[in-house]
Amino acid sequence: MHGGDVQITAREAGTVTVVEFEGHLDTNTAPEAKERLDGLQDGGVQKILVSFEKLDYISSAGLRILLATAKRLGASGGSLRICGLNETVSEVFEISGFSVILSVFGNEAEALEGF
Amino acid sequence: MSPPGQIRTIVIADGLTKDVLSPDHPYCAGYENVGDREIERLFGRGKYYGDGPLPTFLRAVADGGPANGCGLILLSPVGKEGSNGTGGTGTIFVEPIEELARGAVIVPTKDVVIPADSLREAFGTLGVSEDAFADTRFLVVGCHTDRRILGLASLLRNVWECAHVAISPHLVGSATQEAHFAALRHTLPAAGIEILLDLEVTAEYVGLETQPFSEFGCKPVSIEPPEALDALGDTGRHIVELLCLNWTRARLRPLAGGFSGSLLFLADGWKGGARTEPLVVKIDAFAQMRRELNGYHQVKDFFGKHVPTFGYPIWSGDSIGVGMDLAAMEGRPQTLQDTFEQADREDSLELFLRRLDKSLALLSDKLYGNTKDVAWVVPYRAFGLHTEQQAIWMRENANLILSYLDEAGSDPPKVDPALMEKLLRLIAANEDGVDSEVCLCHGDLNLANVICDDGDNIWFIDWTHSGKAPLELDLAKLETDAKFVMSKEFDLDDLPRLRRFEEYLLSQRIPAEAANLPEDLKFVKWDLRFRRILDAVRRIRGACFELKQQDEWLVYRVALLRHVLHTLSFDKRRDRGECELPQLMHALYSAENLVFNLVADDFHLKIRGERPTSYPPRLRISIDEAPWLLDCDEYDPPYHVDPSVLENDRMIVEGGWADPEDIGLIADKLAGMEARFRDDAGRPLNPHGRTGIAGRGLLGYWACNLYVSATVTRTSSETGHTEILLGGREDEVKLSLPRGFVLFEETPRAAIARVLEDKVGWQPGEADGEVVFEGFTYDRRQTDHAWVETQAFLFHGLADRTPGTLKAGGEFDELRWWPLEAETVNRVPSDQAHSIRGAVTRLIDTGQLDRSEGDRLLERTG
Repeated sequence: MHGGDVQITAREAGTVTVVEFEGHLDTNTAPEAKERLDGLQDGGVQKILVSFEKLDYISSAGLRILLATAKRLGASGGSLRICGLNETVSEVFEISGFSVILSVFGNEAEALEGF
Repeated sequence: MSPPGQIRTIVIADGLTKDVLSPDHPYCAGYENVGDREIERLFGRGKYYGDGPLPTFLRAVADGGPANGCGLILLSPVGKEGSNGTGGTGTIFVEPIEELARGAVIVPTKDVVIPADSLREAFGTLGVSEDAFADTRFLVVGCHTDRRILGLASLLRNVWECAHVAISPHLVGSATQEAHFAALRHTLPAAGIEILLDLEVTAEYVGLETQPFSEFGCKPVSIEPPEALDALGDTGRHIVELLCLNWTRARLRPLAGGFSGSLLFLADGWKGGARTEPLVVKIDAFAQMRRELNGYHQVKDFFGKHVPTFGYPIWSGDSIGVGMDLAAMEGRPQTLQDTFEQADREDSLELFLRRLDKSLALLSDKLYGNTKDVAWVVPYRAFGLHTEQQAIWMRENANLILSYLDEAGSDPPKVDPALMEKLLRLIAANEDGVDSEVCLCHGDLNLANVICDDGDNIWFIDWTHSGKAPLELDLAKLETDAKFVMSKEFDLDDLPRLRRFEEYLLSQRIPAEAANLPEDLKFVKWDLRFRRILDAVRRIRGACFELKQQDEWLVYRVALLRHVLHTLSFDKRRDRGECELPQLMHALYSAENLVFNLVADDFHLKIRGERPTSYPPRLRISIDEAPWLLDCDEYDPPYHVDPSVLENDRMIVEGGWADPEDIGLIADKLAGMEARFRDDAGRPLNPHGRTGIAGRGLLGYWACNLYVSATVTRTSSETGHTEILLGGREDEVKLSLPRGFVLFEETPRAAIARVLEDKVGWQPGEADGEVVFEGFTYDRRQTDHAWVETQAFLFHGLADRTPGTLKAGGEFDELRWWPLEAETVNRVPSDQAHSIRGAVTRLIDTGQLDRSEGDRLLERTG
């Protein structure tokens, strides 16, 4: 249904690591996303901004990855923010309630402010 | 001391005759005789016959009583050997009493009759008129405690309303010990008769010198340790003294919560130097104890000897105490908690696990498996997690625990209470359910409520909270208790390992054996503090899941969450339990893991599966596939329309309440509806996304089916409290608001007026009522093509203007005004609870409901 790849790139924005997702974050691509996010945390990254501006679709598997990242960062005193949800991804966040439990911002500039 | 001749106390003695109290033939063989043991206890033995407490006491009354204002009345059977029924010969009485009879007032009696008129005359003979009954002290002595002694005391106290009527166990006796104790412990106190357990106090009561009676040692049981006496208070002490009436010493050990918790003890007893069988003693308020007794009655048929045998309950003030025997006990009893805490070596761990295995096998076999049923379980609601209060408590407790950690200067892995609260609110609002096992449960199963003996016999105690509940309720409690409450040996340095360990335990339905754990948990194998938790958890979950038909363990984890949130408050620093900081932090880690795991669980990330039984199963897609915005080519749900809908097509049947199935006939109506999404045929689609069933199911109209409900409230003229009108059905535990669907071309106001007239017999005025909520409402009947929206009205202070007119109608069998409080609101289905909460908010805002009262209700409902 939503088969596709995901491209993940990471860059620094001050003390924040911005991780951009492009394509589909679903059951097939979630392991790769987990590996990238875990790798950043293993390397000591404390502040992660996940940018979904170029993400077309997210499945429940992708939601689980975000949750695991938020939990792990929280334990070490770090934090996770998310920005740039398109209408489809936003609807999934709304229905699942993740828009309430995770810190979601309209765009990258808003998300970086005060992070 | 009274003036000479003025009688202030009357001692009435019955059953002091040869046929009752003589140890000699032929009397001792008669059915009236109380037997050697009682004769010896009351009168003395052999050459000392006549020197026992009863004749000594009566001699003192006869000799010195009158000088102290004390009169003696002896009841004497008519028609027995040697008696003329009026006294004088004395030959009917046993020898030590014969001489006393000459100075006493004799009252003739016959068979089982209580000679009320003759007694009144006898009082008159002693100079006590009826006017003086209330101020006179009465002491009834003799045999048989459970028969005429009881009748005499009851006549005085309950019929003639004498305020001071007493009995001393040392001066009464019966042929049957059980009947004797039942009368002393239960029947006589319940009739308002004072039981004087100390013979010296009894002497004082009738105005005698106490010193001559000290040698008998007729004292109440001596209670140890001093903390127990402090915990018991006067009322509790009196109850324990009555329960342990035939003991000389009782040593109490608290079974739960220490001496500061509920009064539940294991009482070790002595008679002189000899140990007695121990007794479980529980003292509680009347309402609580009634629940306990009801609980025992519920389970005793299933559990037989594995629940204690109840003695007669004892009233004292507002409290009731009960003694419970543990049948066929071998050696000394201890709780399973004791065994767990002592499991610090391989052999003692083995003992604990053996007893745990046996406990679980008994519970599974005799209780859970025996009463098991499958039902629709809405887990967060079933375990009371849906209320606002739970989220508040969790946040407050978590912040407090973290502040303790800061004070201690410790820096273990942190948790984020604010995020945990959001996660809890999200999952707890999920009102979906699963088909799951429900059975008769204990309701408060912890290791202290399981008693074991040296022969590994098991008893389960404290059934106050028993009832039908999800199977997981008890077993998740047991796991929580073992992990956090009972595991007291951890310190702050252990927290990182405890966190990893708990994370693992909550990731596996049945955790692996110690030897097969992941590399980072290898320490569990050699650290018995961890291993006994692992072994206990493996066994508890094994017992639970063996009874389940499906592999899910969602309900178990929700039950764990319920119990662990409760554990966060068992704070020793606040004197609320036994948990020190490491235990509380361990529990907090568990709560954190559970809320994260449950948010990520399929149960939360799939669309709701609830449906009426007539529906086909829903297609359970992930919630990310639910939005209509997303293409979902594989989505092919079953189509369902109930026959009752087709039979009520309003275009065919007069008064029909359903649209036609052929949408071409109502094309204009459908086209005119506002709809964000439509299917290829132009039918509006459920605004909350895919539901897993197409068609209308049981709903009459395509698209929105509008419901109206009425929250009817009043301020009670009797109590001043706010009340709500709710209906009930005989076959339903739940209560309900008056409500119904809006019919075709009917306005919501006309609909609510019709519903109220039909279901409660009251017609509101046209302008009455205000709308407190309107919008989409989850309804288990919903489909892709039909859903429910509600308009909820509030009517305050209007419906009782014409008292007596309200009458149950429609689906209601019963209609009642209920107090508007959380317990009431939690008894209505959740969709209606939302309407009531809206009404409560309006009542607060308009000053018609006290704000603190209203806020309390809103916190405790959801």
